[in-house]
Amino acid sequence: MPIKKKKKDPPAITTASLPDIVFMLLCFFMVVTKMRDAEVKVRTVVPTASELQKLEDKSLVNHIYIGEPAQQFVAQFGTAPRIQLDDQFATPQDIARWVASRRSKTTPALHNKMIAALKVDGDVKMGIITEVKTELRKQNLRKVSYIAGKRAKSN
Amino acid sequence: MADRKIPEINAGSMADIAFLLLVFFLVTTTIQTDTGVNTTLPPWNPNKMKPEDYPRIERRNLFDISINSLDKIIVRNEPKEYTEIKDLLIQFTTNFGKSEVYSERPEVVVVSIKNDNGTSYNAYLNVYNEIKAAYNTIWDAESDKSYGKKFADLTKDEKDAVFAKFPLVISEAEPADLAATE
Repeated sequence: MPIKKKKKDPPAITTASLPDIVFMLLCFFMVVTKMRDAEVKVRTVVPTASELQKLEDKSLVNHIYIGEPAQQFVAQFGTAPRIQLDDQFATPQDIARWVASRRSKTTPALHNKMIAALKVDGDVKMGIITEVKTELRKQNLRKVSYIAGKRAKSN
Repeated sequence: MADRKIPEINAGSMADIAFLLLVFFLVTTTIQTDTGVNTTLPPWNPNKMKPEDYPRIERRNLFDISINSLDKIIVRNEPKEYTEIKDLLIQFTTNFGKSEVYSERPEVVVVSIKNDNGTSYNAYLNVYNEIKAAYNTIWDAESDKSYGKKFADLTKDEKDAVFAKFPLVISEAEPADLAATE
């Protein structure tokens, strides 16, 4: 006697937990995504300029911040403009070491494509900036970008 | 009537909604990119150059700009505002020997910026931006004349040809302590 197969619908797989999984993913990415790689400890109100170019490749851009220390650091560091490399206050003499450590993190083929992005407060005097530029020249990191905001072209 | 079952709500499309949200945020989120004025610094020469080794630049081909600690600007011995530099430099570079006081040929023009240690970064970048603006205008005009295209749309070789016609040579002197005069 043939076994009579019961025609029965397979139980529907519940998809109710799928949204939870997706939301978990969403939350994970929201938490993990870092917008900025260093906490800025100096105040930089950058000047404006009209001849701007975008800094496309983030991994090649190395920020140097120059400006007055932020409010919570005034007691410790005073109000004279300071240089910030990564997330520490620095002196022009620290640039050599900083450039070397940045170079060691990139492949040699990209070394001459690295850009030093100077994010400098508009009221800072040129003396300290020239020191930084001289150090960068000594380290042969010669591509420099002066970070600036956008303004309309004059005339 | 009392024990009628509530039909199960189909939650299958919730996932789609969540994915839609995820994709929307992925697409719209742009991590802010910085913009800046690009430049290339001259190579470092550890040996001090002797004055007799300096390249000789004729006075009429030198567009020299000085900025003092009060952010006052002197262009070719005359006090100027930074907004005047662009037009002056375009006239100076594209002179082709017509006027005695401007450059002979664009190829030999040297722009020199000399600033004081006390010059503000604002003033310096304003001047630098105007020089860039002048040359961008010159390059745009040249590429429009020769190729009928915008400068940004040129190929690399065409750009190099334009650069060769109108090279931008900026010389930055070591900052001195210029006299602070109004």
